[in-house]
Amino acid sequence: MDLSKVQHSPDTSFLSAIKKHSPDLLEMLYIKYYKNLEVYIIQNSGSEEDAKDIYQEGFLAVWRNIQLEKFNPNTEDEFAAYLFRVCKNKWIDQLRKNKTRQFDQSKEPDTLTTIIEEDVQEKYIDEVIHHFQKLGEKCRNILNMYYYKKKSMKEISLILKITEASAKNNKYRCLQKLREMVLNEKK
Amino acid sequence: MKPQYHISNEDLVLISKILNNEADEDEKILFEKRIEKEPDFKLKAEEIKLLITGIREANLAKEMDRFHQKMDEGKKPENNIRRMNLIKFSWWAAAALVIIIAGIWYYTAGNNQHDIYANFYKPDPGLPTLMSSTENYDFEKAMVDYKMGEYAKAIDSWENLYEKNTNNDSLTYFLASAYLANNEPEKAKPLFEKMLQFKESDFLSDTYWYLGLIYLDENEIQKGKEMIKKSNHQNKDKILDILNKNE
Repeated sequence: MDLSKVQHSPDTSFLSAIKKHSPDLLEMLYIKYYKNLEVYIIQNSGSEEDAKDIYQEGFLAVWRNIQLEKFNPNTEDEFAAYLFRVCKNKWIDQLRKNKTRQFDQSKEPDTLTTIIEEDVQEKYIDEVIHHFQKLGEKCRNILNMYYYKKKSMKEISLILKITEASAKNNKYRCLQKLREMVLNEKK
Repeated sequence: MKPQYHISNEDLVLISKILNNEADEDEKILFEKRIEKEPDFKLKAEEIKLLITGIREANLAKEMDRFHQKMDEGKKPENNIRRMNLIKFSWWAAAALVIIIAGIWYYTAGNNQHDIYANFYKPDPGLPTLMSSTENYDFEKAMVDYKMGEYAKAIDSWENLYEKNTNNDSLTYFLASAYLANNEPEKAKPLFEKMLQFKESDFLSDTYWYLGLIYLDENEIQKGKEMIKKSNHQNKDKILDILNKNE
């Protein structure tokens, strides 16, 4: 099949597409690569529920690594292979942990994937995620619409039935509030 | 340690626009200049990037359950589509459905062209894994919608692409297929008819099949028959058999 004739903007490489953050692209990738992992986990002593947990954990880890430029996939194939590898390693770790528990109930040392020391950036992001849940619903909603769903301030103002200026102001206040919460934690 | 700098609304707006890919050329230039000249501004930009990454990740974590649910619902779109199509055919459809369940419809007298459409139409399953590096993500995203049974969404995206390029056989074929699956055969028909000009297309046989079903549903029996004959569909002989019996 030849899709080369379908027009598209010049900047459509995979890396740039995923770094620009498109919720639709993330949904498409999530759905597209889940099955491979599910088959692997079920064939290796796991359940559908295990597959879902491991996949979601792995998907978030891969996404974060791309945002922090620790992993720069140029093609979707590279992305898919890395995602699979990360999830597979997480599952092997999980199996090892379970096996160890059968013999030793004491607290085990962290395994390879979790032992990696979190750097400052990772810690900051973890704090943001933690405090985001504590923000009021209005703030969560406006930040979600603007930064995750990438709606324009005009669209947001129409949805919230407020002026565009108020929407901008609210977004600013919410972001500052979140930042304050994170920084206060770091004091 | 708490940073010493203060992030003003102005800083935040500019950095946020850059990170959200909304900045115009002037803003991009201003951003670069400030990064170069103000060491604090660079730190602010880095911090806000982490803040936005955290916000996105928190939302992605929540969205993933929705993706999963959508995937589970998508396992049975065919039944829903079939049900929707059949409702449209009211009494004829009800009769046809009973006959199908009994597994004897094929041998009964009185099959007409509408029965043929209702019984033989099954949406094209869509494409499996597609392209690799420089693929068109809009096309592929729409394909995921199509496979999930969200035909209206797929139609919107493919219509946008089709406006810019009317000479791509894959796009024409899947846009037509999405219209047909969305119970809009009047919009699917001209697109399938256009497909006939792509003589080398991989989708030509399937085009004959679907166009044949549309013609039969419109009582254009000869035209329908001709199309079905040209297709390589596994059920083509069954339809031709029924049509011959009814002649």
